[in-house]
Amino acid sequence: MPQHLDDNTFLARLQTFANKPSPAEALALAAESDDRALPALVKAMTDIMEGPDVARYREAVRELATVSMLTDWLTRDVASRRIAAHALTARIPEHAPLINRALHDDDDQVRAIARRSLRSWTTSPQLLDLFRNSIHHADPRVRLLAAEGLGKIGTPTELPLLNKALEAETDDKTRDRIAWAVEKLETDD
Amino acid sequence: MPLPRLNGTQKPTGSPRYDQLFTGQVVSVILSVGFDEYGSNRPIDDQLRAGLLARGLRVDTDAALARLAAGKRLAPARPGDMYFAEGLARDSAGRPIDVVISLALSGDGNAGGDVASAYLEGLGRCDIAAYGGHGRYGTGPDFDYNFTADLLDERGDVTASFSEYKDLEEALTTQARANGRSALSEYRLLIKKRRLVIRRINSGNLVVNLRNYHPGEFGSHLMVDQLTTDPNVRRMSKQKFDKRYRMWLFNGCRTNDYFYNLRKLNPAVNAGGLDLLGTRRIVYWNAMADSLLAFLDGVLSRDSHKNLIDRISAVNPTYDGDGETGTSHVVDVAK
Repeated sequence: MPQHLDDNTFLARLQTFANKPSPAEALALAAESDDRALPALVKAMTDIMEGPDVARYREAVRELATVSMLTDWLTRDVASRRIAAHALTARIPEHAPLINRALHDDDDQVRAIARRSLRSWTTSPQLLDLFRNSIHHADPRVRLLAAEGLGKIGTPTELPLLNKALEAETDDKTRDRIAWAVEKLETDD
Repeated sequence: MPLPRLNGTQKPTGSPRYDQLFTGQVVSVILSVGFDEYGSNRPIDDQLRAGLLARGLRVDTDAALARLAAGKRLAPARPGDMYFAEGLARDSAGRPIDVVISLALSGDGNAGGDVASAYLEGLGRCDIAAYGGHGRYGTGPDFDYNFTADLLDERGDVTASFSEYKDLEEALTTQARANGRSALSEYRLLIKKRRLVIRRINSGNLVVNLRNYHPGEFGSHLMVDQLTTDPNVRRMSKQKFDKRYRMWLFNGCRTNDYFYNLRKLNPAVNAGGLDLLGTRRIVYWNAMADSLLAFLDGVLSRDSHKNLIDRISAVNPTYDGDGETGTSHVVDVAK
């Protein structure tokens, strides 16, 4: 069993980390499983631009941000929802429903952050559902990414959905991408 | 054999040639913000605009264009919103210097090629150009996404897709660990087996250098690989510049990686004098706007080279992970 820090020590270390982040401390704080570390860990992850520590900050966020934690944070105030959205990744199947929720958030920044998560993914049934749900999203950029995803991982069974989306599409770039997905899946047939 | 490079200095002497920068009692500046796949560039745009307004500049494109013409400076092909202020700086005789600033901002990355063109044009037409954004492992400024990488299974079906090297690195690190390999070994193996298919998106890249100065880092291989194999990539070395003195700041990670090629491959831009400012370590998005604005404050205050890099370094503190001490920024002064 890991030895957890007492509250005062945890908060002091969290403050020190927020002022001067390091990858080792990010991982140590993540191991505490205390969601008060989430804002600082997400900030460190998004602030770093390149270099050997990039993956370690991400590892810390992945370790701390459990599905139940993110589910909770996505019901909170705008600032919390933005932080949670940054921690979402379409590489984790269980995050797909949360991304879907964030894509329909009232706040445009939460939606924008969630939209970016559709650019990197690992295939799963949940992801396929996310793409299906997103093909009629209000934002054409979301629809475009959904069409691209369906074209890459879908089967010809997606064709009725895509053809319907193609008929309704008003954005040129998105229409092109849906047409690409349709043609690709027709070829796969 | 070590790769050739110029590091710049943390302890320069002398000052920029303000008399030349301020010719005609005006100075023309372009500030640009590169692209980040996670949107970290977006708040910087607003911080920059707010910072310019707070310094007494106003959005007044007509006045800015008129002042450029009167000062015998070139106007941008696509002006957009331009910032202007009368007498915001003083020359060595105490006379007022008007300031004209244009912006080249990546936004959501969808028009990276156009933003790169605006920035490139600004490098030539402006007295001072500052870029803030990813250094892209020494390859050059970047204003859009770089690639889409699809991971395929044995049957050729897509199992994962990535638009950013950090995502790909994270995925390959996990996969490689399970196979007892490094992310880079996994990457090389997958490329060899044609199980990783990369589609390049390089219209927003301005390539300064294709040496890999950071071979220990996964992202550097990916970046250099996909730029090296792109015959259509825009090379800085092929750009034309007229002969006059300029100052360029590259405020991204380890941008002194650019210095060697900017000196060796761009004789035209060096002919009139070019002061290069860059970084010698990792920098962070949260200091980006403050860095660009500190640079602007420094040149408008006619800082010496040393004061200028100290001023920018003051808003770029070291972090424990850096293993670095000293100034974040360095300068390579025009010969």
